[in-house]
Amino acid sequence: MSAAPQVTLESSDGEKFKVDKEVAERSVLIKNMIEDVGESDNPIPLPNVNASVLKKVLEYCEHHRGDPLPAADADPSNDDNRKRATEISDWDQKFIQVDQEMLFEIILAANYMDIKPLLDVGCKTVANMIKGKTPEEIRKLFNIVNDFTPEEEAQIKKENEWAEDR
Amino acid sequence: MVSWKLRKKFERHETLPEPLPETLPKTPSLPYEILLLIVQLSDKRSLVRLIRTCHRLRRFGEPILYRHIRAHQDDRGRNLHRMLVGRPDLLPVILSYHGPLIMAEANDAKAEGIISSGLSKGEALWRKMRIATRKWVMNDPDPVERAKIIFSGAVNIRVLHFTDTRTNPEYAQVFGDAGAPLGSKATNIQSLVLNVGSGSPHLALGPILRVQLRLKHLELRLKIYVPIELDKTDLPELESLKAKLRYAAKIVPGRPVKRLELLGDWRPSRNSLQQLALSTCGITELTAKIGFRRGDLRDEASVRALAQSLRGIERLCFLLIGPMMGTSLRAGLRAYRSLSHLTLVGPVYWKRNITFSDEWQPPVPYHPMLYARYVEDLKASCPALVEVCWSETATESCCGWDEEDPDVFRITQ
Repeated sequence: MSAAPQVTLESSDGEKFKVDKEVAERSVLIKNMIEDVGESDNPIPLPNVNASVLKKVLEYCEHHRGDPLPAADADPSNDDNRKRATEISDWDQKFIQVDQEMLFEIILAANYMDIKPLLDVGCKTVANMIKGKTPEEIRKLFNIVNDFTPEEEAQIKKENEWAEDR
Repeated sequence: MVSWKLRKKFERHETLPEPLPETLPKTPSLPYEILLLIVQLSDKRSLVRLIRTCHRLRRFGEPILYRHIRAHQDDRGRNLHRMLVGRPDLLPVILSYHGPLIMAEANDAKAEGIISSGLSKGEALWRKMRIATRKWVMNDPDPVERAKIIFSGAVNIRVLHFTDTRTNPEYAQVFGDAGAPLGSKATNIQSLVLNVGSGSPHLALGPILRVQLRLKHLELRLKIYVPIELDKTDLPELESLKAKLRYAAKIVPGRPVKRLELLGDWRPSRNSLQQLALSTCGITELTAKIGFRRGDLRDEASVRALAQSLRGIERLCFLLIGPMMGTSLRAGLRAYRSLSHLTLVGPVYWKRNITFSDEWQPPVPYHPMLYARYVEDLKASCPALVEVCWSETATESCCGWDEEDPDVFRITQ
């Protein structure tokens, strides 16, 4: 019985990771690259992901290696899809308990590598972080510059009051 | 860097904002495409806060926030209607609206009266009003005009639940005219609740309903009878109706209605013809109020009459609005041969010769053994019965015969 085929991934800082092809192919980007280029001993470069983040991403892929892949056309703006996606599994919750910088790095890497379930977990975690925060606190969290005039700010607050909990 | 797949997705997205000029704030730590995903996953309260952070998130967030609107008859609701009138771009994103059709504006009417009267007393009142209120009154169209603008622009609305409770003669202006907004544009409604007071005698329901070819749920809460003229081909997909029996008899025949909830009180003798009209329908779920004070025989007749009209009922819910003798109820329920799930909400008495003066207090405590016997007896008449749920009110349990699920008695073989 032959061993599972493996591929080598190379992080932005030059570290190499040898992983099962099945694990690496949780990333649609890598899957497409392998399909386009064909199997090769050359490492697959991931210039936007450093070693510490790639290690974390591969940990996720390893744990979810057998999971069914999400539908390619699942639209997150669809309410049903959103509802389905509201819960994070226990393992994922524990996995994503990292500092904010790492969380954002994981999200960026998941986006770049096209690993939709990981991107969802990251975004859901950030959505949970926003809960209960004021606009000013959210600005700080995302490094957003307030480009509203005070009048605009007051106006928007008034317009959207109907949606505030009561 | 964002992968091409995400970019492609956003190109499909109707609410994609145009490329932003350089003057807008620079990207935060996460690209906006990802922030959009986060916005979509946020709850409504967080969404409001996100919208208030910067222009770009406002443009991302508002079309999501305004998909589902739940408004109330208060200042917030009035602000919402005013805002929507000034933001026609948001109207097509509305998918569901739950709230008043017309946000009553007592102050507007008063102020208009004051302005037009020109009397010294009126002018004094006008002077007392705050400047902001004056501006509103001066600049805004009246509430009916606002309703017309909003609901004629909300062309993609699917769920429309009007909660108005006030009698409002202006409904006809919004709905009933030949060019009624709903009738002419919003033709994709799947769930419609009309709560119309007695002040709309000229409201024409036919033209409103006729264009709703995809309507699946209809709820008519009308205080007076408004004639409905429907053709056979109207409402071809209607599955669920909540209305008085008189409307049900008019609407249900010839349509694929499976669920019916009868609103209001009804009596079999008076409405027997209407019940007969329902007899050819495929209704399998029925909810009805039943039970009259001091009238066991009529109770039983009511329960039987419904069963004779609706022979295919599998799921039955009776809201017992008055005290009812258990024996009468059981005798009536025997007519439901297809019954599999029974829900009883309200007081049922177990002894004859009870004193009705204290009718909302059951003279006999509910007891598991009594119900077990009752259900077994019922099963002899309704062989398909698998579940009986019973509670004193719609939300409260009244007996504890099963610790895990106190309201439900499941029949086990």
